[in-house]
Amino acid sequence: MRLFFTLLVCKAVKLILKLLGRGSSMPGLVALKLYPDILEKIKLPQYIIAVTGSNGKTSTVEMIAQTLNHAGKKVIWNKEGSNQIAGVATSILSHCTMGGKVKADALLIESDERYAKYTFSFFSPTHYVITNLYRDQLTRNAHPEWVFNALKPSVHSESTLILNADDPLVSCFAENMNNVVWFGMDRQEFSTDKNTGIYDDGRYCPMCKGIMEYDYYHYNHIGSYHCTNCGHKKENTAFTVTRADLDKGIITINNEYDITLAFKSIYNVYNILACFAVCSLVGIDKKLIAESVSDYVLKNGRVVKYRLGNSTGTFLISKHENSVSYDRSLDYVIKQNKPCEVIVIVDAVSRRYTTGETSWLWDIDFDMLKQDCIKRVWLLGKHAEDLKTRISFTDTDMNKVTVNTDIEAACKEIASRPACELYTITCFSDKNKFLSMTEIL
Amino acid sequence: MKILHLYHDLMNLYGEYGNLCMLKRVLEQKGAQVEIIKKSIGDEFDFSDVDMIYIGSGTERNQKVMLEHIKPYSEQLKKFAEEKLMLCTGNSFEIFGKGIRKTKPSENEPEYYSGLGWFDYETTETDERTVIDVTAESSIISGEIIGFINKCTEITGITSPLFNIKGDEGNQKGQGSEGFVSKGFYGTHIIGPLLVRNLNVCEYFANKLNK
Repeated sequence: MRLFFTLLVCKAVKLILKLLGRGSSMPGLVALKLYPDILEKIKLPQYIIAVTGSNGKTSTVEMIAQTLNHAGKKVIWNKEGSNQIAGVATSILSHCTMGGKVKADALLIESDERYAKYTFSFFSPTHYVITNLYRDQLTRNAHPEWVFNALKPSVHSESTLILNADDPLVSCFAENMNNVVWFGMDRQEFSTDKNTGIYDDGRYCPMCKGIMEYDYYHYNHIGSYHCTNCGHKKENTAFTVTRADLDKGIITINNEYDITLAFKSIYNVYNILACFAVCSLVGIDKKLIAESVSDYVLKNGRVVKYRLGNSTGTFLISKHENSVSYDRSLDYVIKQNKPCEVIVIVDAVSRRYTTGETSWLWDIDFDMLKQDCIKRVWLLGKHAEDLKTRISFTDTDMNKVTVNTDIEAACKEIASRPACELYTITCFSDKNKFLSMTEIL
Repeated sequence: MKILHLYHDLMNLYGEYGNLCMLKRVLEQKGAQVEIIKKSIGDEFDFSDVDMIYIGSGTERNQKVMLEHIKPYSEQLKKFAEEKLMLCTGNSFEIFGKGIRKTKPSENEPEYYSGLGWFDYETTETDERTVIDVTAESSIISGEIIGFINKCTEITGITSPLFNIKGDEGNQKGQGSEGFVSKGFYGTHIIGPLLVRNLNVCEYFANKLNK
């Protein structure tokens, strides 16, 4: 009776919000207030797939949904921005019958790293993907080890863990777990012998703090490692990118399944691989998965083509306070190796909180801006001067750097200039300040 | 002039090397020749011809790794800090006190780590973090100081703080006094990087070195 009543209220709240034209986590929040254990009482679908990690959650979840739908499965998933427990509860409860049964083949959950332990105290995922752990929003998340400790209680032995073997910290989740499936990438042409980042979070073993050695790095601390002290190492992978040609935009998984990339970034490769692994494990035909994700253009607005004045550009969503995401975006720009101008915007460090914390700018490999293909660098937003100071300590020619704290004025200036190829690198918090000045293509 | 950046690859959470980039630039503008030397686990430490030592912040675990590793050098280093110049930002300065008590130690972890015992302060490490933008002033460095604090500790027993922050998120909750200074030793939880965002603080250390 209590379940029925709570579901009724939840659905009513949802309906009212819908009539008001608003979607939010409110229905779930109300339900959890009325009936804190409600999620335990719901009959969930056969497959509960969760994805967490610092980067790639939203894109991976979107591709899993796309693939499962393509295979004719009914999927329920929490869309961007509602990855805490109230959001998860909202998507579950608004899709269940008044008897408390979720009408779907799979429940797909993008889970915030810090809140996963609350969500998964009511039920466990059947398949739990952990993509990576990077320095990410340190003002909120402290540091990767802190996040690891926060995530650990969300990992239960009844789940099949699907882990990125190339991330030494993520690999630690396998300790004392029975069902672990590894994914990773073999050495590629672009892999390096040395770490090329500003800092190396793979230097010390996350298990014992001994010195680690790498056979190769794919990027930052992602690669093939082993600890010289305790033996912690990259595990053999069941799902492997055996070939990745980022110039041509094609990858091969397990020597057999070719996938063409709509977006030729290494991030995208890992997201596709995680999607491939989990979809295979829930019984989707591998050929069908490869078809579904081939040339798949993400709808989540992480990459946007735009026109500004005479020029066309690519907007590359990066995350402030997340140097790896900046490094990948900068790397993407220089790998295109075409004459271009780069716009970097740091206005609001976060959309969740106000802070002037800028130490993370020093973790970004801005030295990449020195490349000759980058003809001009625009530093915009409130922290444009902080960016300039940081970049003045790289080998970038400061004569090609323009600083403007006024994003609108700078966009007008850029629009009035001769046509060129533009790349814009910034975060969600500053995305629309720029894109509103452009025509989205 | 030689500046030694200790544990540069272990205690490096908040872009700390930026502090030394800026200090080097300011010193060079004053006509000094500056060399930054980086040493960490696996290296032999030699402080004999060094003018300044710097250590940044790290994860709580990395801080304990540093504490264990630095012990054999304690006496030599203490003499250095008394006679010359040593700056520790973030949680690195905590290890030079009496010790670090953990309110919630993880499995197989001691509740208490003895520090190097140079100073009388003591640190308590919790599972809650203090994360805040701060402005501060100092009785020894003129001008306003801005920065950020991101820590999970409180420090008791400090009688000679480095800064006084506006607000009550200093060494202990409810106190404005922040950091620690004793002879040539300077410690603070203010990051930013501190010397990048505060040229007055950078100038202060540059002048100490460039006497």
